[in-house]
Amino acid sequence: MSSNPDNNPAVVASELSKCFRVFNKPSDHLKEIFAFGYRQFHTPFWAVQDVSFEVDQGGCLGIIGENGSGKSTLLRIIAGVIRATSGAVHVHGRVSALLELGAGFNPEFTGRDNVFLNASILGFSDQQTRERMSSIERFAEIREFIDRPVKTYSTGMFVRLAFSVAIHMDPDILIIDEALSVGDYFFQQRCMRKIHELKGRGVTILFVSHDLEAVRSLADETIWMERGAMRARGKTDEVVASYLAEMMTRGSIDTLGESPVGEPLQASDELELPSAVIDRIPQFIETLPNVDQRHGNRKAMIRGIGVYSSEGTQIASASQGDRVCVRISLECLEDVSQPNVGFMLRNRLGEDVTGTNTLFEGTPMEPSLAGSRLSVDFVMDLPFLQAGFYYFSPAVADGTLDQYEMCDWVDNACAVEVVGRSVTYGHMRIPVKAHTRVVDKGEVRTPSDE
Amino acid sequence: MTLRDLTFFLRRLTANRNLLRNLVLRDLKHRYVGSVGGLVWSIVHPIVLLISYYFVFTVIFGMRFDPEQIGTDNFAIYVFSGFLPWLMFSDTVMRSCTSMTDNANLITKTVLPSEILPIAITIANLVHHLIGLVILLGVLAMFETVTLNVVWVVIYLAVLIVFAQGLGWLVSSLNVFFRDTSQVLNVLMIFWFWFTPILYSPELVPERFRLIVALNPMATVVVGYRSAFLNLSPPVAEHMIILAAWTTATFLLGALFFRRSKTAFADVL
Repeated sequence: MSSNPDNNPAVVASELSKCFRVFNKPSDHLKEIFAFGYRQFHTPFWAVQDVSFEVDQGGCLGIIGENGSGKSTLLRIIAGVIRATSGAVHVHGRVSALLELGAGFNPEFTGRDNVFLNASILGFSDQQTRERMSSIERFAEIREFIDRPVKTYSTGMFVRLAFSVAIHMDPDILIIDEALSVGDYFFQQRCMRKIHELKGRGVTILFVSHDLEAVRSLADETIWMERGAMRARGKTDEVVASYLAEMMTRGSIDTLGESPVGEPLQASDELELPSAVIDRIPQFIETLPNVDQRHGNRKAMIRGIGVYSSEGTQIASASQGDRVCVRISLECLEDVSQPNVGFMLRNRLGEDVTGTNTLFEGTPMEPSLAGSRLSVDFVMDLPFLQAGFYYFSPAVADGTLDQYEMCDWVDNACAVEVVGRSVTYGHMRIPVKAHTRVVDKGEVRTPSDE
Repeated sequence: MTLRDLTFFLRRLTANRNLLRNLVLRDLKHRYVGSVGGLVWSIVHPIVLLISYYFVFTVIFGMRFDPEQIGTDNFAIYVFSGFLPWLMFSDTVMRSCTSMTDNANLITKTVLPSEILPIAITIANLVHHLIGLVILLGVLAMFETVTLNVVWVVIYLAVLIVFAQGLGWLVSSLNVFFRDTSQVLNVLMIFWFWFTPILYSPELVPERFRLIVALNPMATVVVGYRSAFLNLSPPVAEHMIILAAWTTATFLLGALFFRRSKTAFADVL
């Protein structure tokens, strides 16, 4: 994970298991503790089973999985709040943990009191905390609320303060559980920047998130938890892709939109290429330049993809604003009753830029029999994207926008370099007309007016 | 529990002294959260008690005792000197009892050495207790004489602290599993108060009930306090031995019980 091989791992978890003993009443719990193993009063529930991993110093481990898959329990064990039933955790360095919704804050006390108490739990002296206080306040942006009881805080303020405290405790290891899903967008962005900064400084980070984009941009390695067990562990891109794949086949994530049939953004015939141009493009493309990841039930398979210019020549780079045609060719290996072909365009960081599919654009396809071979064209004007490499991930599914089975999804099959004529601020430039109007002219002041 | 355990415990306590300090300060503040007077109330409170005792026992009931027997001709002072250790004891145990459940957020969200919570309560109560003792000494200096015997109170106080601490650990961990513990304790404390010679002198207890006084560790502590402040004869040796036995047993039981059950706190809370 870390490029430095002689680093000692910061966190080593070996064969961790946590069995929550489910008791009918708390007193049964006590009885069992003092039965010294002679009698059982519980029904076992294995929240975490046999999980092993290492995180190098300065590394970042993402943990993904559905609700109730044991992610939080795992983090709580590593943070040392609860004890594993079996297995061992070795942690080297100071751990600062932000578990679920906010640290151990007492609602009756002011934010400031809570900061001091939390810092002293981590072994900070009051002097050390005082030195950090203004920085903590500044990051949390809660102004005068710092001296009001925590019970008067909004959820956002609560999380902001908790996060601010966690990152100011000079952690060697920072553990963050889902905390960033609360709070406003701008704060989330700020947190992500801060986490990136800490990572750059060599802080080891373990975090749970449902935000796969965040995981992708931050984690070197990712664990996929499923029903308490480690379903997969490996390079983030691979694990996230196979997780997404599974979620999509199950249809529990709806990335393609909400309405069963979509509408095109502009009902125009403008986005057409002359038939002479179309004829120049191979009818059926049989090259997949790259396959990062592939998933689906394989009822239909993507056979090729190509990006073509408005002249019908295959291109590897395009200028901002150019009209291009993306042709995706596929073959049905079984009957597909509601085929839907589409793509996702991602940037270099793996962030989704845009995506669409035939159904979404209001052009549903006919049912296709096994053995049929199809090509689908997407003609579009490239947005004024920031210059750089972009990747098309083609996919074919069977079903509606709401409910479908993924037949084949090919991650980052084909790259296009967007070359810039124009500077872009942010992800892209969009067509904008600026108008200026002088409302009040003001007065010309000269020094001699005196 | 070996000596190694004890040194480990003490080392952990020193490592966490700033946490302990913050918890104690928080406790002292919490009792008067939102009040303007703050700590002044812990001075006012015992004084009001003392005046009330004087009003009820001396003015209303007109109780007069032989100073030879109770060490003072002011029954209010007699009651007060016995009531102070009881207050320290019952307050520590009662508030320790709910300390785990009250601080569930700390136990489930942070890596807190939970045994420190009852310790913080004991120390906070000790502060209040010392204020009470200073007031008692002031009153004695004004109306009676203070002898060197007073220094013996340090011993009784030390025993009281150890006893209350052990019991505090025991009930606080019990309360995690049985939330009724604090209610049961409430009722128990009422009995315990009236079976302890605070509002009466142990000599008034009929012969056949004397065993209860002998076995009651708090009775010995109360008698001890009075012997120190009012220059009375100290508790008899047998009672002191029983007190020592109670204290050692309670402390060990509480500490071991707490240590064994605390790993489950975060799971249960």
